[in-house]
Amino acid sequence: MTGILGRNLVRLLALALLLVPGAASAGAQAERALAMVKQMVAAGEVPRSAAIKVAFKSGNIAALLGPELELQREWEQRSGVMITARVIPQQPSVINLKANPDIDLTVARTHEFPDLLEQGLVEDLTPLLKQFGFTLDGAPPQGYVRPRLQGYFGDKAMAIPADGDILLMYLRRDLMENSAERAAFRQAYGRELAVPRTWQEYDQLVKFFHRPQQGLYGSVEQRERTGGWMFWLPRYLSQNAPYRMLFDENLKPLIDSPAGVAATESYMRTVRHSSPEILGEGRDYSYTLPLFMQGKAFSSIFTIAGAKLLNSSASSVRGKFIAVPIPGTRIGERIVRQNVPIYGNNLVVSSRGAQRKLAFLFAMWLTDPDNSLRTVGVKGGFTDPFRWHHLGDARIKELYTPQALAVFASEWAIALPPGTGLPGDGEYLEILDQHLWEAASGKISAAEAMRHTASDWEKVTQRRGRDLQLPWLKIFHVGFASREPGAGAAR
Amino acid sequence: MKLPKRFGLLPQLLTGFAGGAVLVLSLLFAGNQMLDKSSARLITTLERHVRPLARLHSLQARFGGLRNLELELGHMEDVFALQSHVTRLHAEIAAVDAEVGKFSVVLATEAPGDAQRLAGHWRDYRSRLQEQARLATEMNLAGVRRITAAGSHLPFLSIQSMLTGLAEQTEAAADAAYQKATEEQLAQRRDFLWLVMLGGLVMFVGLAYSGQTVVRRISVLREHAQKLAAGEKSEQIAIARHDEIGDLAEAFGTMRQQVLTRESALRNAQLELEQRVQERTADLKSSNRRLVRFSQVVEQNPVGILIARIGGVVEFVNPAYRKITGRSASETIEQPLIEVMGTTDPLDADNALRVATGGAIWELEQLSRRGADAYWERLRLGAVHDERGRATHLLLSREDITEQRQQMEKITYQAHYDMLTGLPNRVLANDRLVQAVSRARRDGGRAAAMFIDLDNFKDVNDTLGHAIGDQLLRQVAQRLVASVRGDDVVARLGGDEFLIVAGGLAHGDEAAAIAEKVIAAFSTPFQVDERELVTSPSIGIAVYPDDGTEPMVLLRNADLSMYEAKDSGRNMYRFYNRSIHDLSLQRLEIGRCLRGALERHELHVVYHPLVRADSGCIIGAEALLRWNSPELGAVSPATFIPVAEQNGLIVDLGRWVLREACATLARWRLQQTGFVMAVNVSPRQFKTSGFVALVKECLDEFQVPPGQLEIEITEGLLLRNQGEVKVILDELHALGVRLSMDDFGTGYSSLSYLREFPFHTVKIDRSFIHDVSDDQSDRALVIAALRMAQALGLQIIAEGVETDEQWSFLVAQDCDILQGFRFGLPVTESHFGKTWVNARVTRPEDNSQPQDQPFIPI
Repeated sequence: MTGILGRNLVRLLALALLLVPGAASAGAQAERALAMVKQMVAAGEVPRSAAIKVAFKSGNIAALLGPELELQREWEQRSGVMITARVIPQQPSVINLKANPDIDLTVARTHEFPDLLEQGLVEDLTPLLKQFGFTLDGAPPQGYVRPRLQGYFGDKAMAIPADGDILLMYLRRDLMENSAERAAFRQAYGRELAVPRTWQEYDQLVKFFHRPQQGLYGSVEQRERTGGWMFWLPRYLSQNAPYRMLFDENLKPLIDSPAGVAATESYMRTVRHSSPEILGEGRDYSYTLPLFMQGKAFSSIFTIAGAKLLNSSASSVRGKFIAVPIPGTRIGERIVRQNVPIYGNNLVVSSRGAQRKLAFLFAMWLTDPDNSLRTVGVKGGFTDPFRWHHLGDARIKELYTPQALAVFASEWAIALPPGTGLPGDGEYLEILDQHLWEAASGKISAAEAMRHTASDWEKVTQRRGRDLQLPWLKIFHVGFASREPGAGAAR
Repeated sequence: MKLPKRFGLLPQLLTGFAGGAVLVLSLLFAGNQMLDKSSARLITTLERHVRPLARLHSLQARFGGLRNLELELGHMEDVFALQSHVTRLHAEIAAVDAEVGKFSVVLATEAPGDAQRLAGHWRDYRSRLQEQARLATEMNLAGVRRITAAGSHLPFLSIQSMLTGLAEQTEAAADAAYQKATEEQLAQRRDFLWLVMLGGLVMFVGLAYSGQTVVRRISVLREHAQKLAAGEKSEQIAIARHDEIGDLAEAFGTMRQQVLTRESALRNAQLELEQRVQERTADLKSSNRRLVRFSQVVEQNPVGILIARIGGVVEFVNPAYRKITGRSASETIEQPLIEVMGTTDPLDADNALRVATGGAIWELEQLSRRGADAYWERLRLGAVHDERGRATHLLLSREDITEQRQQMEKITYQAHYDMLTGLPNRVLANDRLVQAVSRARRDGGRAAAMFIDLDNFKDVNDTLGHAIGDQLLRQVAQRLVASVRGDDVVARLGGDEFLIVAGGLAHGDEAAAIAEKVIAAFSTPFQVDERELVTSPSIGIAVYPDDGTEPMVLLRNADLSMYEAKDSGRNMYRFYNRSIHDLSLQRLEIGRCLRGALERHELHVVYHPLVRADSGCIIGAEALLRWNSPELGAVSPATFIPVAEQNGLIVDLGRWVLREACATLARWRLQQTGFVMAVNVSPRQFKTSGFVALVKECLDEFQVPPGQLEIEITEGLLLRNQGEVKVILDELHALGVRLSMDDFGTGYSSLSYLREFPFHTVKIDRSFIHDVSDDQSDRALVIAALRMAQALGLQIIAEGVETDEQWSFLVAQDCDILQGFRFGLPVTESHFGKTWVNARVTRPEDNSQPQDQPFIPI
């Protein structure tokens, strides 16, 4: 196996070591936030009885407020400001914010920012950052991981990054290292069994290890109706060098193209080497990850949170899996790889909340270098490393494995903005998801899926007004050329 | 009668109250005990039945919660929420496990079978829950849901059913126990009420008995009191009990006895009163006798007493009054006081009445007449007051004070006149001088103060005694009075000093004429006790306004002039002139310049050699002080030393000379063995406290042998305070310092001084040496002095040796040491050190005396 992964691992580990935190101003951000709160209370800007209303998804409560709500308790004790928490369902934050107009703070995914911004559901945090003297710094060793990518839309600070969800590929290391498997693979494909560099190599591996009769599926990538775009987009973006856009400059969809078809086909190919139920309703990560964890799959694609589960004591594949970079597409002599942040729990302040400033300060307190280590360190929690120094923390390493963290660090270099970047992003993606699902189900071809999607997207654009949408797209495209710390290294 | 042991009402009451209190407390205690027991029983009932019931309900609730968690777990959708839920499930299982354990222990004591069944069901249920937790951890949510639906349902129901049954049983048992406890509580309350009623009855009976007893005894007392008030005969009350009522009965008996006794006492008092009346009558007679005596005292008082009514009419005069005034009673009694008083000024009488009636004492001394005789009398008038302080009479006393007045005039005379000579004394003389100056100033004339001092009067007094001296003074006074003009005043100022105040002079020369007359008056010897005594006046004259415009200045200038006359040869007069004044100013100037001269280094010490007469060897030196003033030039020691002596600077100068001389001696003694340094000490420095300490300090500081330092004092020092001087000389002698008497022969040259004081050396004054070659008497005197000193073992130093002839004479007379200009003038330290130390002077006739013979003190 050393032979297979050696060179890549050495590079990744070296990068990870660079990210180990050095001397840092840990705790200063939290103390400043507390001081600001006390100052506001003392000045009468907020009543002493003020409470912050937060709404998190059930899997986030412990991760964001600490086990046994210890972070909430600590905040309340030190700031004197109470937190009222409620659980919201796993659904787009636009819906949650509309359904809970009184909340002050909740989480949102990066691709949701245009919808939230356009509908005025969240506060532009840029003035608040300035007012209270904070920055969303992305520089190692303690900075946020790609804050421009995760927390901004254009120049507007939309969210405080509180989670680092980028796609990683998980493979069964034990099988990859098995000499019999390696020999069989060599015989079958005329090459060494190795970490897939392209989606094509990945397909070969999935196919090779798909043995349902032995209780082993080649892949358990999510293929349910909702969220298919997350697994399709890296395939699509890597179809061109440096990347393949969804729309052209006039907002004409570019997916109805060979690139779109190729990406969709790659997306569709795993279905036949997966669980028969993989297309079923609700077969999300709560379905796929347990399968991989129970040793019933050779591969899967998910965020770094997958490593946390797979490395848990109850996992059958603990010590037997490996996290590897997302494959790419061979374009000429080079392999183009692209990645996108998917779920992501970024803290957004509701524009309709009564205590927006307090909510912002609580978010800054929560994502302080010290405090964030406590949220990321929650066992089985959904919050993943989102500051560079998390990757060097011994406890985090123990939870995720150093190897997975090293890959995680490197993948941020090829991360591009997720989603469409347009108002109505939810609608655009829902259309894409629907057609991808139909294609994966065999109801339509890949080409049809892309054609239908492009057609439907055009309708949406026309309905929303192309002229209104175009400025958003322009802003969104600027993000692709980001030069913030950690970006573009692998491109 | 022997009384029963005392048991007072208060103790009786207290005992009663205490008994009642004990009874009440006993009842309260009993009641409290009953209530406590009842409460305890109820609590026990609750403990035994209600708490298990509560624990049961709590356990049921716990199981319900556990079941909810289990159901929730089966329906979890997000794998990332599973872990925290599983953690909660594990925690809840542990909590329920602990609670079931505790409950089972309690349950096992009463229903062991139930306890075993509960434990069994819980084990079953717990194992299924743990299985679900394990499956959830492995993300096997289907397995979790399967167990929830089928596997854990029945064990949970079994537990719930069992706990419900136990709860029902416990509730029934609790109801029964509570019923029983309530019944017991009612029974105890009934018993307690009976007890309270019994206690109340006992207290009532006790109080009724005590009250009846007290009322009966007080009734007996009342009856006896009524009998006593009515005067009926009653018997002694029997005292039944020894308490306050018994005390009252006893007191009543005592009172009855005292009433009887007091009746008897009243009769006795009547008799005593009659006796006192008789005694008072006798006292009145005695008072009358005293009044008569007082009247006699007034009558026979030597002071004249007059009593007048406040209105001013005389009521009484005593015989002395009549005698002093020479007026009969008829001339005085019933006469107005203002006329009778006889004041020389009628206004005085009016004033006297006003003062006396005002409450003060009026006094007057006046010269009155009694017929042809004049006499001095003192009148005093005052008011007489009655017991209430009101003035009722006036009392005039009249005293003949003629003798007192005469005595006072005599004293006044003595204050202004000299009793010896009858001349005005210094006080009156000053007054007369003031008058004379005032008159001269007013008239534009002149007045003279003539200060006279008798020459050699002290010798007369010392040799012939004071009585002779006094007689001489009286005769001198007579001659002085006889010598002056009629208006001139001759006064004796004291001792042999007289003053003539001559006023009304046109010229100062007129004073000279008076002075000449006075001198002429003394030309004839005085005859005193058949002795013929000679004395002469030295007269100093100061004339107003030429020699002073103030009497005191004139007196001082006359005094200075008198000294000028004395210095000029005595028996003459001298007018005050400018030179006297100038001399005085010069002395003041010298004193001013001399102050600070030491600090300005204007003074220096020179040394004059002491030569051994027989060998010519230098044996020492005399340290002499010299002053070279920048303002005055070289000032003679004869001029500045008396000034320094007078203003006290001599002490500092002497100290400095002594230290300089010792410092020099310390150096020279190293060059010449036995070198002696002689230092003059003035009388004032000598008597300064600490002088002996200063000498010792110098000896110690400069490491000088005491025998090489010679202190020279003058003969005059010994004339006064011989005791004090002797003490100092003895102390110096004890130090080992040599002592020398300087200028011997110029004073009294008393042999006794040389014998009594510890001198080592005598220095013969230069005046004797000067003429020793020519004057036979001087030669005889020097020889006598040398012999005398040799006889007393003293060393002789001859001062003022100027010629070889003198030297030869002194060697022939065995004089020890010579000093004088024959050997050179005094020289500075450096000069002396080079020239004189370890030197020898060639004698006039070179004899064979050893040249280096050291100085050996005799």
